[in-house]
Amino acid sequence: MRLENLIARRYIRYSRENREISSSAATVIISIAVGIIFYICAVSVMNGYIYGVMQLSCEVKSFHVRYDGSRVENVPLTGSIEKRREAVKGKGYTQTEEIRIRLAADRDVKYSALYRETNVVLQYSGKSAAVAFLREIPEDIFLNDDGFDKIIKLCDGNKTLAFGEIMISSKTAQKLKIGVGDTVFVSFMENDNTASVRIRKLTVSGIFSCGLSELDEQLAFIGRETGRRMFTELPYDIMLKLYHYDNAKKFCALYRTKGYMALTNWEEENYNELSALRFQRNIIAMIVILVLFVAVLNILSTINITVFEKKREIGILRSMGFVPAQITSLFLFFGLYLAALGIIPGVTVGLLLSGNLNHIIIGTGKILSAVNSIVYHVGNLFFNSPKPMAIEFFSSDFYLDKMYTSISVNEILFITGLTFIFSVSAALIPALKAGYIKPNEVLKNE
Amino acid sequence: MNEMLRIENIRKTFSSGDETLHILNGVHLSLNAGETISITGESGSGKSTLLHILGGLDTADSGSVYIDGTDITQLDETSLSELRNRKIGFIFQSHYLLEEFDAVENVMLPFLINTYDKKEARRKATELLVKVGLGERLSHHPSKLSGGERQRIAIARAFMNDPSLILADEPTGNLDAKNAQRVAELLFDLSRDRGHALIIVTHSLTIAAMSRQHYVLHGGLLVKEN
Repeated sequence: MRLENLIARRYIRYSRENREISSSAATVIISIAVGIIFYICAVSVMNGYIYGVMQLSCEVKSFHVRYDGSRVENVPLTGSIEKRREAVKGKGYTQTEEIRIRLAADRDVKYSALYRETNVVLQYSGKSAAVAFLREIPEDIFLNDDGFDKIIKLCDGNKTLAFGEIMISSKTAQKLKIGVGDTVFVSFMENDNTASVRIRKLTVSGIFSCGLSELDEQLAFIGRETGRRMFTELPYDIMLKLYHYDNAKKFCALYRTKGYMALTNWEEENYNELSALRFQRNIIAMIVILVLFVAVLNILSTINITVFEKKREIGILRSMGFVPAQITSLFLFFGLYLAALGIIPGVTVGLLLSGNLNHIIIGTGKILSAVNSIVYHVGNLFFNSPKPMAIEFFSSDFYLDKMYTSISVNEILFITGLTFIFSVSAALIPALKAGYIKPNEVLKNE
Repeated sequence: MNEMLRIENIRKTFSSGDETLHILNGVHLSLNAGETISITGESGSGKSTLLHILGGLDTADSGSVYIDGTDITQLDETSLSELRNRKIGFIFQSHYLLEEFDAVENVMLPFLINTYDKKEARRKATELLVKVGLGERLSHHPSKLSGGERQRIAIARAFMNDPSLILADEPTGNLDAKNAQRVAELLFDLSRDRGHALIIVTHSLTIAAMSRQHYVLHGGLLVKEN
């Protein structure tokens, strides 16, 4: 095999000197490289998107693991009868806190806290109103939960939740046309049975954005003390952050067997969304793989050309003792080297592009906007035309605040391996044909 | 002396439309180790076909070819390739050197097919190239060499594995008279020095006269010239 490998390498090295082979080989190499770049970018953007949504889900939306406090009765509680009764009603801070302490004792748990949430209407000076999802959280959460602190990006004000203070999301602030220090009225119904509406006045301490449009349009936070004064019957839930979010499923399964049936993990909470995203990613990857397959098929014609050009050399190799299988392997190696020459720059450029996609997209948007603007100004010298809108690839209304990209080594190895398999498949027919060239037919004297 | 080659009743026909051409009509030949013979004949008389059959590159319709006692017509492809590598050296009208390899690497190839020992192969190839007068051209690629030089490399390549039999199919056909004479002398000298049997197909009677025996292929039969 070593000699076939050596000859194949030489064919590659000297292919530039043969115009027929070089143009065909260049087409193969470029097509494979472009296909791989396309694959890496598409998959890393889709992965990044899933990762971005997942990160927000894990840190803000549904946490790693959530305990539904309204189902507190399922937990085998110990303690006084009063406590148990309170638990059955599903409203007890103490009982839920007891459960939290037990769960927090697990070495997988990094952070845990009680929280509660409900829908409210926020009003400002009777002029504007917005529906919000109000969440009561510990005042010190920003200090103790670094994941939460990192995701909640401050647009204005402070990350403080003192008594009587509220932090609202940027889009809610825009809707209400309010800023830090303004007062909002919070209207809510705590219990459907009583149907009584309560109103509280709170001061905006901070305006934030978390990147997920769905949350940015609704979410608002208040501190524990403010919550205690506002709600009386709203049950507490438990948020749990683990050291590794991948362990959430295992953690839930373990504790469910111990009676904590109200536990759910982030994957369960976002199952439909994640499944849809993964399906989209797989479909996109499949389409790109098909494109890559078509690119790799060019190997077939390149090897056909090479076999035709080298048929006398094949004859002389046969006369020197090469068996047909060796000739076949020689051209299979040739196909593999062609693939490798496409894969190496493809993976390198693909990774560079996917790693800098945000800058590239923003930069491209700016360049195109500039071109658009120049065209508009030049055109305006001759006729009146409406001013064009700025070209913005990454709209501020997009679901996420930026384009996350992520690709694993496994995915790179997968596409590399697949390209090699495609290459061998494409090279096989011409390589076998080369093996069956009869030396007496190609070595005839001129 | 040892019988190196024996061919018995070799027949070969080619079909062209309705016409059947009897190229070889029962050719017999015997050759001892170290002997040289030349075969001449008209173009299309079947000289190259005969040589290809002797080297196992083509098959006869009937008859046997014995090389060192082995009937090569009974060998499978792998055994035949192995035998070609160890016992036969081919030289063609065109040099058929691999353009991607330099002179010494081209000569190394037959050895590397058998044993992938680059160091030993280079040593032997260098020695041979020095012998054929190309000691200064070791790293030159075929495109940088003259026709005569290329053919001398092809000769060195044929001798690389010390084969028992050298089959040369019009090795001087593409060369001018001066170079042809030089290449032929080199070929005969090397065969004689190393004790290899040589069969040379040629149109040149001068070159044919350099061999120990001279045959003419006529009407599908080998006729010995006196």
